[in-house]
Amino acid sequence: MNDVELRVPRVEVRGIRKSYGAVTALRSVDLTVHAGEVLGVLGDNGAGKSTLMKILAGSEQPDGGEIFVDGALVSFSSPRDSRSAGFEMIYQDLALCDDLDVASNFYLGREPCWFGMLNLKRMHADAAGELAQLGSRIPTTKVEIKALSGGQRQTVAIGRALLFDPRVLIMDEPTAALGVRETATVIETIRQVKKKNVAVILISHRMQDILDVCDRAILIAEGTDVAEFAVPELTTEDIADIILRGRFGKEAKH
Amino acid sequence: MTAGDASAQSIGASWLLTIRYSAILPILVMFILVLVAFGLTTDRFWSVGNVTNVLRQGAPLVIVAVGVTFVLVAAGIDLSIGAMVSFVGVMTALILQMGLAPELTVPLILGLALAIGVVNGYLITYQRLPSFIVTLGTLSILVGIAQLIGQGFSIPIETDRWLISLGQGRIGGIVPVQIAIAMIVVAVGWVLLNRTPYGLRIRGIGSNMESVRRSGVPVNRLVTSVYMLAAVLAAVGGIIIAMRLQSGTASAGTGLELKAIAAVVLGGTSLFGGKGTVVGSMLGVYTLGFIENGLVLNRVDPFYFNIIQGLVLLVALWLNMGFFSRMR
Repeated sequence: MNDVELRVPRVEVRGIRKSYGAVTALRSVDLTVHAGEVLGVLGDNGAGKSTLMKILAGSEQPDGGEIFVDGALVSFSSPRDSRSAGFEMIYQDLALCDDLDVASNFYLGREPCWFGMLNLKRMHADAAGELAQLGSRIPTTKVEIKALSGGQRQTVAIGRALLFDPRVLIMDEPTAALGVRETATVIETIRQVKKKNVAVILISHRMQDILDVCDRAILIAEGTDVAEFAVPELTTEDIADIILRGRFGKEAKH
Repeated sequence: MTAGDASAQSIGASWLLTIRYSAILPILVMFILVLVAFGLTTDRFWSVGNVTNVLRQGAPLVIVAVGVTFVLVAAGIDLSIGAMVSFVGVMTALILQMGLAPELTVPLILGLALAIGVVNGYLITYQRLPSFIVTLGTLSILVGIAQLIGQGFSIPIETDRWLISLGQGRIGGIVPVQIAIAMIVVAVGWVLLNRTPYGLRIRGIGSNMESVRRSGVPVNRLVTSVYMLAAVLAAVGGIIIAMRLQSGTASAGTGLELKAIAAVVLGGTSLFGGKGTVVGSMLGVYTLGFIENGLVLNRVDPFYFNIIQGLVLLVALWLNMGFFSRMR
C-alpha cells in the first residue's frame, strides 16, 4: 500500500444511485480522488458519466449513496452548494453565455460587488490576469464570447473554473472539440492544476488524454464502476479494450 | 514606438470596440436623422412647446418600454402590458370612486400589478408554458375585466391634486412630472441592467439559461422577476395615462404592447434575448413619437401612421440584425 491510499481522499463517492423514472442512470458508483491526483472516467455513451458529473455539480440530486469531501459527508442540493465546497466544472458545451463578455462569463453567479454595483474594474483585471496565466491570446476581456474561436472559448471556460482556486476540478470531454495545439494546451493546464494540489476528475473519450495526464482511471458501464486501473501501466489498445469489452484483458492475468 | 503611440492605439481599439458592440448606435443615428429631417422641413417642429409635448406624450410608453426591455433581454415576451395599462386605469378609477384614499389606492394598484406579474412568471417558469401564450391569456383576462367594470363607459377620476399631477402637473411649472418619472425609470433601469449582478444574470439568462442555472443562480425566480417588473412599470404607465385623461378607460392601453415591443426592438434590444439597451428603448419610443408628430404637423393622413411606423421598424430590424452582425 502506498502513502496516497493512507491519506483521506479529497473526494470519495460511495454507492451513488440515480434513476429517471423507469430508467436507471447510475446503479451504484464508487470513486475516490486524492488531492494532486487526476482520475480518468471512461465509459461508452449512456454509461452514466454525465449523470455522475451532474450529481457532483449539484444540479441533480442522487437517489442514494454518499459523497465525502476530505472525509466529511456533504450533500449538494444546488450548484451553489457544490461550488462552495470548492468543486468547479468544465462542461462539454462549456456553459458560456455568447452575448456576455469574457469577464462577465468569469463571474456570472458570484459577481464581486461594491454597494450592490458590479465591480467591473476588478472583474476585468482579474479575468485578464487569469487568462494571461493560461497563456491565452484573447486580446481583451471586453470581447463577447461569440466573437471567440473554439480554443479561446475553452480557455475562458477553464479560466473561469480556476479563478476561484478550486479544490476539485471536474472536466467533461474538455478536448472533444479542439485541434491538436489547443488540446496540448489543455493537457498542459491540467498538469499545472494537478501541481497546485487540486483533485481532478477527467471525463474523456480521447484515450490519449487519459494516458497523458491521468494517474488512475475508472470504467463506468451500465451505471456502475466496473473496473479501476493505474494508468501508467496501460496503452491506448488496453483502453479501447476496456471500453469495448467492459473489462480489462490483463486483469485476468493478475 | 513611443508610449504615447501605444496608449493612443489602445484608446482607438477600445473606442472601436464600443462602437462595434454598441446596439444603441443605429437608433441614435435614426433618432438624429428624424429630428434633423423634420426640423428642416417643418415649421414649429423645433419649438419648445412641440418638443415638450412629444416628450410628455411618450413618457408613459417609455416607462412601459423599460419593463419590456427586461423581458425581451431575458428571452421572453409580455403581451399583457397594454391590457395592464387599461386594467390599471379602470381599477384605479373604480377604487377612487369607491372612496379609498389615493395614498392607499396607488400602492394597492401597484401590488395588484405585481401579483399579476407573479402569475405570469410562475406559469412561464415553474410550469414551463410559453411566455407568448401565457401573456396572451393574461391580456384577454385583463381587458375583459376592464371592459366588464367599465361596461363600455369610462369612469371619471376626481381625486387629490398630487395624484392628478402625475399625468398633468409640471415641476416648477416647466418640466412635466411624467417626463421626470420616465427619466428616473430609464436611469434606474440602465443601472439595474448594466451595472448590477441582477442585470448581468438577466442578460445571461437571455443568452444561455442553462449555463446560468449551472452557475447556481435561482433562474426561475429571476425570470419571474422580469414579468413582475414589466407588470409594475406598465401599472405606473397606466396610472399616469389615467391621470392625464382623468378617467379610467378600457381602451386606454389597446395596442400599447405592440408599440412598446416595436420601440424596444427598434432601440436595439435583441428579440432573442441576451442583449438589450434601456436608453435605446427610450430613443425607440421617441423616434416613433417624433415621426408621428412630424407627420401630423405635415398634415399627413393619420391612417398612414401605422404603415410608416411598421416600415421604420422593419428597416431598423434589418439594419440591426443584418448590417451590424456582419461587422463582427
